[in-house]
Amino acid sequence: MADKIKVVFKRVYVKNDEDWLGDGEFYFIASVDGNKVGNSDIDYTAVEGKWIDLPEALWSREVDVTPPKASVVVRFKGKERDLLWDDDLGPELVYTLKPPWQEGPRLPHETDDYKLEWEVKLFADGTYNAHPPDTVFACRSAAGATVCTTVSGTQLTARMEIHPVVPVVSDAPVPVGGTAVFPPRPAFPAATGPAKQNPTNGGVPAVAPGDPINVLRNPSVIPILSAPPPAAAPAAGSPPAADATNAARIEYTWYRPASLNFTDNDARLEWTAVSVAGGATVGFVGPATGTKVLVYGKTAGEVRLEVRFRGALFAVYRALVRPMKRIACRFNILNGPNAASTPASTPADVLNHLAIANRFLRQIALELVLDTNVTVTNNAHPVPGNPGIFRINVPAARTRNIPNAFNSISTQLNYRPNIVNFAYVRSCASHSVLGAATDYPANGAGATITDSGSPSCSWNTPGSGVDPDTAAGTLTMKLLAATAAIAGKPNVVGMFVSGDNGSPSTAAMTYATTIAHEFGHILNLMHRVDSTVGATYDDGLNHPPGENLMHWSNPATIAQDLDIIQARAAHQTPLPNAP
Amino acid sequence: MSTPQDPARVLATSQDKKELSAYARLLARSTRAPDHEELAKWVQSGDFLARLDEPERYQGAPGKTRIAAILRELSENRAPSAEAVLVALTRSAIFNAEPLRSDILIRACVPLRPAPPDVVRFWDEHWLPEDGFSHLTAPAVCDNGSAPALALLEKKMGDAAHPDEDKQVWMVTGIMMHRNEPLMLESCDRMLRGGLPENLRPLLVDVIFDYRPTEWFRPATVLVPPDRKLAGPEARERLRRIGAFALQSVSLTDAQKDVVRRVLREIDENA
Repeated sequence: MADKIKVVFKRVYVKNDEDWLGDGEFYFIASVDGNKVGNSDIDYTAVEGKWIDLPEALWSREVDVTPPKASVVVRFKGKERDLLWDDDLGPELVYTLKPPWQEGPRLPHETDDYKLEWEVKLFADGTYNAHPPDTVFACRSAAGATVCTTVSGTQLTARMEIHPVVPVVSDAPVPVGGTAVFPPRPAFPAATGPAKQNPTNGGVPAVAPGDPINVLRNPSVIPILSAPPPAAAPAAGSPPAADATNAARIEYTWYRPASLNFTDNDARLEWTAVSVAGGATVGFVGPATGTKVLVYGKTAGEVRLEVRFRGALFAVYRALVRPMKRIACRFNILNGPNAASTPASTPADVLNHLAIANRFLRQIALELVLDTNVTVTNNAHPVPGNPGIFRINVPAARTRNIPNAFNSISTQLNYRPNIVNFAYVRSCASHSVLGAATDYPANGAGATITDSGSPSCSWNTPGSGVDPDTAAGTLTMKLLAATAAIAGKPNVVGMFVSGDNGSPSTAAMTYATTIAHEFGHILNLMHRVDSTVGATYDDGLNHPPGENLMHWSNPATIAQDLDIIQARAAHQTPLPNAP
Repeated sequence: MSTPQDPARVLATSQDKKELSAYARLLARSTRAPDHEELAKWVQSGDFLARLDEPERYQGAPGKTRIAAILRELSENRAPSAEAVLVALTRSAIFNAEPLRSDILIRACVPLRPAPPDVVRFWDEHWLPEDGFSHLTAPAVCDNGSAPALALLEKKMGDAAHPDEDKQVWMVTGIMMHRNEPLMLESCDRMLRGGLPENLRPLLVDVIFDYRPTEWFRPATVLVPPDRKLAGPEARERLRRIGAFALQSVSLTDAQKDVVRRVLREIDENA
């Protein structure tokens, strides 16, 4: 967006018409930035003590002052036309305008014969009309901040962030001897007002089965969807049309100063997408402006969303673009011989847990879908009306205090190869274990996976690539190896969910995040921060400190995020797409 | 509970679950035998147990129940009369009518050393094939580590009624965590020389000498064995004996033998 000013010659007051016989005929020669303004062939009747109004359409000039433009010369000269020779009406106005460009009238230019009133208008908020004095006219990006000039000529330092981790990690100052978990921010002038945080920075305190599938903000993957109306309805087999309930919700997380008062659809903030890899393309549902946008994928790859404020780059957000991957799963509720060895969860609870888990998995464009295959083993009973959910009567040992080592016989019951087989059990012998992935295949990426994008995934620091932090480097994340094959039971993929999660209804989100977390292990993700650095299943990145869904112990209200490098790995699982 | 009341009266009459729990824990924490005798009466009362924990509490993890907090106090109390309450509970049909309470009691008896006969009997009865207690009891017995407990461990490891898969789990969740302890090593020595099915002996050697977390554990729980450097002279001597026997008489791969030899070298270097 170009920065534009308009120089307007408004009117001339006639002090002396310079004509002995009657009214004078004044004409004017003017230029702005070397370009002629107005029309010197027009004679204006000059009556002493009266004003000559100059039509703005004729007597003004718009100038693009986008840097490096550093000055604009304004000239204006008055003359009186006479029969024999024209009279000069005094010294010419020669004025050099310089940044910071400032809105408003300039000192009148006055000679013995006339007084010229003129002004400078600034284009802001889509108009040259007068603006409040703190309206931002132009912005320049500089080392992580944006220096903005207001129409009154003052300058302010501003910054916006779109943190990819929600809940957003603490931006508290680094303790002495501590490790920074938040990229450094530029120094703000002392007079800068406070920042504004997005109220959603704390994450979603409670996800419900009926929430929109895109309830979690700032996902690492933008799902590919069909174009929204007025495009034609999607063809059969195509992704659903993008709308407010399924497109990726990308929102600011912080900006300063709060006095900028940005709004959700603020026209001052313009979003665009730049393909980073794979020729990725995205579209916007609704306006691509403001602090919050809805984005859907068109072509797979990787994009950088850029937000511009008055044309200056103000914030960036990196995301992958992927088609939704749907993986089939079945749930077996393992009922022991008595009430003490029967899980409390009902099929309806299971459906709720699955629905909530899918809201977390949506961040990486994955979805667990119920198996439609009705094949059963181990005397499993399909739950009428609930395809993919079964009950199996088992000895107490298969559902109560089940082991927390090696494979688990419980997750092999009524399994189908190459889909995710969930066993709902009463409890695990280690009651702190709420669930466990017991069997999983190797990831297509191998033992590790890398990401070199900027900003770094989860804004891993130092070297986040978020100005003024140093450039992002290459991050390497360790992946789980496949579990040992089970003799006579090929391609088991399984996990158990323990009743130790609590009440299936009131603790539904805990069940759901246990499912999503353990499914993360099935996708070969390790713990993003384990009990100790370097622990067996620590993925090696250790950032963010507690907000990733793969955190080893944090509760569902904190550990919610999945990032780009995890998404890259997840989409390389060999688990097939559900039919 | 601003005014202290007679605990016996509270336990007999109160309907306030928090008050019941607080007074019962007060008695459990006591060093006086009469307090424990009073408590023993109530924790074996179906009426008291019903007033203490509503049925929903038994739907979740054992640690969420109020009775668990009371047994924890007793378990940490070294007064003989406190231990006597736990032993009495192992015989209580009313207390053990709720399996979750038995889960709690299995762990609560761990500090009772040497394990009293009643406790060993209780563990034995809660360590049966397919019973839904075994994977809780096996580590508890190993944690107790007294001679009677380890005799029970050897019995169960040699019992063909228990599937091999379960025994493998007990090795890595129970035995491994005590592989620096002379009594446990002595027990392992005996098992390797005859008590344990031959096909399981290589894993027992691994559990004593090696540590393979990614094979044995899933990300949800990774147990870490004690630092070998902390093994005392007696334990090191046991390890030498077991190592020599294993290298000669247990069917190990070359890689497994290398691990045993390395550990034997290390314990000699650190001796």
